[in-house]
Amino acid sequence: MIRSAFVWTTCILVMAAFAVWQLATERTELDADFLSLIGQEQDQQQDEISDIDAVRTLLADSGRQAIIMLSHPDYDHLTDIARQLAETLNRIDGTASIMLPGDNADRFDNLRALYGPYANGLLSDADRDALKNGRGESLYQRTIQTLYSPASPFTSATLKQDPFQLMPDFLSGLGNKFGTGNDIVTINERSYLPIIVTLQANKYSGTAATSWVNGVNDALAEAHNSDPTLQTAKTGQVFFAVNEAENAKKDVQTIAVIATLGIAIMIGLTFFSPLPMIGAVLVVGSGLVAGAAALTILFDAIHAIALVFGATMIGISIDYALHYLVIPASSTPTSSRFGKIHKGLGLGLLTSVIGFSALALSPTILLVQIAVYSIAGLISAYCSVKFLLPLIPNRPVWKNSPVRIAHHWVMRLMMVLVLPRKIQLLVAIILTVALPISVISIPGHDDVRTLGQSDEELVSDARVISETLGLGGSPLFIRIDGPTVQQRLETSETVRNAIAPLVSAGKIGGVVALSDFVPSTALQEDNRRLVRDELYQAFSAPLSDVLQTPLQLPNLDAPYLLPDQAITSIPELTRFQTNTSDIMRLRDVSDISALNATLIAFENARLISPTVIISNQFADYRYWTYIALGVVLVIALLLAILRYGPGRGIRVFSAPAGAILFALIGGHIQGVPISFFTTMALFLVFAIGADYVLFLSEGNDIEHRDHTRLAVFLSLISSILAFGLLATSSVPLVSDIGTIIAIGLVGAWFLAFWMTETTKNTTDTGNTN
Amino acid sequence: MIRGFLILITVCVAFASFLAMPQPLLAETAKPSPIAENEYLRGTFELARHLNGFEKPLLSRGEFVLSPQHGLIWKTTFPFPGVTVFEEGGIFSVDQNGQRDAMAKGNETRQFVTMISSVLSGNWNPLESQFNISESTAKTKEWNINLTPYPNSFAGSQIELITAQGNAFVQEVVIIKPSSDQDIITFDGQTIEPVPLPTEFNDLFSDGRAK
Repeated sequence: MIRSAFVWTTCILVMAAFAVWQLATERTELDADFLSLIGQEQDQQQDEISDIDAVRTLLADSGRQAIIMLSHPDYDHLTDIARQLAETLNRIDGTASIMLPGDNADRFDNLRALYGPYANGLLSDADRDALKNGRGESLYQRTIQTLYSPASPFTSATLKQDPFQLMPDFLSGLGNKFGTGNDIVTINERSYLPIIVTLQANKYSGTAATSWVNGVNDALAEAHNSDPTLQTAKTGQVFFAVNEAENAKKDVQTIAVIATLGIAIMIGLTFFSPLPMIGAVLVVGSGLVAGAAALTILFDAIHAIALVFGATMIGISIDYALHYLVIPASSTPTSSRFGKIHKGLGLGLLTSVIGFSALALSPTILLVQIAVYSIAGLISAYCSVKFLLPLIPNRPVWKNSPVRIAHHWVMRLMMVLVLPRKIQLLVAIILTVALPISVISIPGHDDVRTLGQSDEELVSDARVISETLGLGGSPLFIRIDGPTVQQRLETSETVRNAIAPLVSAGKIGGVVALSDFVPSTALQEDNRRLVRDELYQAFSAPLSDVLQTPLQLPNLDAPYLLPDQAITSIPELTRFQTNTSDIMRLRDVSDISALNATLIAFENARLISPTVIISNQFADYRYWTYIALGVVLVIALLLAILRYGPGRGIRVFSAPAGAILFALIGGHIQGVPISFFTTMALFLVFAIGADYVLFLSEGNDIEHRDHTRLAVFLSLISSILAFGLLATSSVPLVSDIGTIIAIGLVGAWFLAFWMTETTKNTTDTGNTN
Repeated sequence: MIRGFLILITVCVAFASFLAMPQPLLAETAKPSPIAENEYLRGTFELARHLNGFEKPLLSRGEFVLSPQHGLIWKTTFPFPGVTVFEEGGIFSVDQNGQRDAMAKGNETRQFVTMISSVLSGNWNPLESQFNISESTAKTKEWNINLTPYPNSFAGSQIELITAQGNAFVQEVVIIKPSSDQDIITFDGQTIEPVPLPTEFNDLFSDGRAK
């Protein structure tokens, strides 16, 4: 026994050292970015990029951007404050760059150098329209005016490339397509100034983001204290993410403290000794260590969601410890205490392992990680019960323990409810049949927006910034597909023309696409032809006289501007490309229906809403979790029938199945949305429910029945303390999970007892004495 | 993008209104007087735009009006008529039919207008932040001044050197650009007159039109 314990302890220590080494040396990365794991399915064979990948790219880009709006009645003072604040923000760790109004103006030369050689093929919408409608003379007159105007931006070099000065209008048109935003606006004698901050790539999530947001809040508070008339507002994913994470963390920490204290008090009141508590911690701790080690062996990156859910699943291993600890030393020699429970424990472990193995068959890495973590953890917990707990001196349940007394009265009450086996079987069959019907009938609700609880002030700030500056808001984009870049540019141009009326009507605040910066070759050629026919052929002679230099007709065969050239000069243009897809970025869309209706005509263009895409992704996860749950339920039913025979097998099976049913219906009545996360909670309900019923079924002999019942009762209390308290959280996601688990566990405990208990007048086979 | 030529115009206007600036360094020379709120400055100009690689300069002539209340009107009469209006709301070209087209708007334009106002009130600060200002000689009643943009200023990428000279009024401004192009602006016939502005100028301003 000692040798086994030594070997197992060594194994735990090795696993712990390995996991710590892997994580500390970043051989295995701990990924807290919500977007980084979802959608990374195992079978990525498709050539075309998935919407979720495009959304990830888009949101990762948007997630790095934060907008701070300052307002003050004194315009000049406002710009001074903005400059000072920008310097402070720049010093905060995590800030990559800061843009104030007008900061892009010095890129004019770069743009001029890029576009200059192709000026004849680059026309603003207005100029193109003028040339198409035979109004070339107005452009010529404008050229003349520009040549002699003191506010002319041309140089001798640009004049040679672009004698009719078409490029400045093209660039102005480009600015207009961006819409307002990066500029100071004055409303009701108060000026509003945007500061656009870009965070470093690895600093917009996790603790780095929290630290950055705190730094920004301090800087804003200091600026406001220096000048109380200064008002500030801020928006950006990072602010919402940090706020919600902090709220959730605060809630969960409070609940965890209460739950831990509760469990400690419960064990203390039961055993009147700290030793059982140490045993329970050992078992759960070894599970966590083994789970982490398994993940670090198998994966290069572990997602935080997988860790949290996996750790929660391993939390059920406290049941294993309690099941062992309640067996009194006096009844059996120490060496055989484990032998008394090993069947129930073994079957419980087997059921859970089968369940999580089914989860591991999904193509979703997130679910696979949760499954691996849980399987490894539970096996480890089982081994710890077997090898380590026998070394802990036995502390019997205190005779006058209030927990024991409470349990006694609860059992007496429960006994009243026990019905004959035939009725139990009938109920079991009803529960078993009702479960799939409920799963189908109760609709899923996967909208990610309902998972969090956004801070009212942040929501208000986002609205004010959107209304005042036209910045921020929920990101939407149009995805353009096509085999070649030129085809995508042409599609993009056609889509832009189609949605132009919506832009004019204010239903879309602004649209920007790669084709705005680099028109398709077809459009450039058409533009060049228009310029040649409508401008040069008619007006090159008089302009040549004015300039006193000959002008050459545009050559249609000369090279055209290509996206790769533009991207070299304007790296930000990569934001409009995602592998073989282009994206048109939309701003301030107020009529999504109208936009969708316009896009119906386009086979290769569709509106993408990140919220919808991510919600759909979670719907897929929920679907896979349901399938895994279904598979494991079928396997559990077969195993139960094999082990206990048809009648008892169905009754035993109906305990976890009925618990899931109760959780589903109860949650639905309580208004809990059935999402991926609550479905994962159902998995937990199944695993714990299976443990309860198996412990009671396997430990139902006269000698150990009371101990087993007490162990299950203790497990219920600990689980309710651990999970049920989550239902009180203010964060919808946490509260939903807690509600589902609380309902499910009470149902599991009741059904486990009710389905395994016999009436006084019946035998185990159901026959009358 | 419009910042570059805004600088040029700012400088032009600054010199055009140079009489409004109290210049300590010009103590020995004629001193310009500030333009009061109820006054305006008008005069004529000749702009010779020398472009590198072009044989002859682009020559234009016309008149200008500078009003502290409204802004600046740059009215070209030769070789083609054309009007450019600078005011707080932006820079506009006005064609012969009175059609106004915005050439620049936004924060930079506002800064530019603010700069004019600062100059009108005798404050050199707006140019001092962008240029190193130095007097060359002042042996006669005329003054000479050189403005060299600071290397890291936004003016630095657009302008190499500006020189100006004048007496009670600015007489000539030369703007040399990095492309070796240069604008030579000669002012003449400048007078300060009391408001109201002549109708043909007043109507060109957006607030004048509103009235």
